[in-house]
Amino acid sequence: MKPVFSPNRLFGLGFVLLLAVNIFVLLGVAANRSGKPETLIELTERELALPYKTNDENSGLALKLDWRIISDNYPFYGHWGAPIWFNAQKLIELGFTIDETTCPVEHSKREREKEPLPKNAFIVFEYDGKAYQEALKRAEESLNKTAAALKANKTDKDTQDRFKEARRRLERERTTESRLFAIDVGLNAGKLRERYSDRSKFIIMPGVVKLTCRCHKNKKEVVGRISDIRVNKINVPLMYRKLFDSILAQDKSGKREQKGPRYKIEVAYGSRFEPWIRTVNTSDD
Amino acid sequence: MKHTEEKQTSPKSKADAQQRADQIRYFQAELELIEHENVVSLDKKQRSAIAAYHEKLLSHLSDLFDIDISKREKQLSLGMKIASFLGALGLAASVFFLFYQFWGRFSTDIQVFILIASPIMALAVTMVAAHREHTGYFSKLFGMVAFACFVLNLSMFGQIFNIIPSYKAFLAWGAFALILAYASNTRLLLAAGIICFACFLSAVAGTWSGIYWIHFGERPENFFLPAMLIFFLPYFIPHRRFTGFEVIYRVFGMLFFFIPVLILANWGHISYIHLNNDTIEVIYQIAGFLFSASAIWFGIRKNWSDVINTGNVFFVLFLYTKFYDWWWDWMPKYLFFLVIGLTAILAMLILKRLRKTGIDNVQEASG
Repeated sequence: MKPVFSPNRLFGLGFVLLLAVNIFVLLGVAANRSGKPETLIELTERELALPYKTNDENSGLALKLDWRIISDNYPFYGHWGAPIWFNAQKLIELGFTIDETTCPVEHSKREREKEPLPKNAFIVFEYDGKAYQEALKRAEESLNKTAAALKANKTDKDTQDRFKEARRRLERERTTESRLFAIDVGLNAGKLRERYSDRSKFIIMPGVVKLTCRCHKNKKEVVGRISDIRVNKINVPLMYRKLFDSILAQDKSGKREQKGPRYKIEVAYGSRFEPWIRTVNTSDD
Repeated sequence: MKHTEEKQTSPKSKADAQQRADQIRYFQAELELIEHENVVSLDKKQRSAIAAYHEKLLSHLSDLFDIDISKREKQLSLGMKIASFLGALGLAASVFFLFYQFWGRFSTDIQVFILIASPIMALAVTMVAAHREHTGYFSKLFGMVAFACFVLNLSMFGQIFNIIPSYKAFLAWGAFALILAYASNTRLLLAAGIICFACFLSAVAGTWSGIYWIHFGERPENFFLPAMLIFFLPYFIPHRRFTGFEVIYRVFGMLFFFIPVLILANWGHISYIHLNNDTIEVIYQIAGFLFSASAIWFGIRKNWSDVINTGNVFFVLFLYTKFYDWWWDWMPKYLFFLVIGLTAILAMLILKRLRKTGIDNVQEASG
């Protein structure tokens, strides 16, 4: 008697599995891109950055989504700190349990903290809005402060350096830093979209959030952090490569012509919150 | 009688056939020795009857399973196995790097076509190789390439279409690896399939507690359920037709159980259990000793050398990590290593005693 799973039948099953999985994945892609996009937004090189270095053994190109947060410890750039709005109440709303054992004031050296593992959440990003204006304001204030200090003590080398750095920071904030800021989190994407209804200004992305303990002003407190977003790179299809390749060649030769962003990209997010590039243009267009 | 003979001459797997061929070789050598010592002497007719029977049987087994009849063939086979393993790894890696090198130069449609076509073509080549060549070395090699192509297929779709990473990919990869493993009788693919399934089940267990699936490895208890399923699967579903599959299941089941226990026995703070870290570590240390000792006992009872050896390795690991915790800081190093040496001698004595009991039992049974 022939066994139920003879090699021939198994190979047949293998072909069926390959086709079924590929069809399933491609249908998912089609479903994401069909209908009206969840978000349709125009970003620039400031938010969708080219890789710092290219790999000779990887001919593909993906743009990195550069997003930021407003945190207490300005001038901290990037997104690794704790956003000022991400407090204990928000963490409880996301399903984290917070009690007296979460961030013990004192614990023995042996007893390591049992940090809860990161959880899924939807994160709201604001493009060129209030959060960016706040970052700009902070940079200006910092420059004014150092300018005043320099006025009082013109010969001090440290004060001069701090002034120069603050001036550079404000320049970067105005021309090159990302204007995309994480401003809220929630478990329900629909409710978040109701609150942040402008689809050309607010992007809702699935991400990962975590609870951490930090010492702030000599007090131990629970804060939330955004660990990552689920899709943090956007692939560049071949039809848009020409522009990026010329920019990469320009960077390689060290002959960058303009200070500000060199391209604008229309990005769409579909029903499954998966992005894709709709159009690419140079910034002068 | 006829039924017994049929059973003996129709082995179910290549391993059974090889065992029978080895048995014949040992018999011939022993017979030669016995005759040389003048213990018995077969007449010419008996000798030629046995020789003809063995020749016919070996030729039948060789046709069926392509086994190694001589010692030299066996040595060459080992070389082929190693070459096939290295070739499979090399080709699988090459497929990855080849695609990465050129994919950016293709339009999305062509990328999708290549990614779908490559595992299908590799599977077709595996199928043809399995039909044409009985040794299975080439089908195993191409099977690994097909698996690598499928991994590339899904992971690259993720990059091309910016798809949110999902643990369900492990289910698809695991299913494909297992299909290939059973179709081409390949233990390496079985191991790959088991690892993928363990990752999938652990990620599912992790998401039950609301964590993001990529962090499933940060709570080692997530691996306990897959470990149990993997270990006991061949106990309920026998794999006589597949050489060495049961061993792979049992060893991986034990690895997925004992490695998390070993981690938790030293880092209690990553456990799900809401207890003091020291208490959690003690619980897992005791569990480690109990389960590894039970595995040795169970292996002896069932005559599973793989289970005995894996149990032994983990028992020693649990013991030595505990010794390190207790004594490394305050004991002079010569004394510490002396204790290690003495415990090894003690283990040897216990195992020798167990071995003797085993031999006595066999003698009693045969007596």
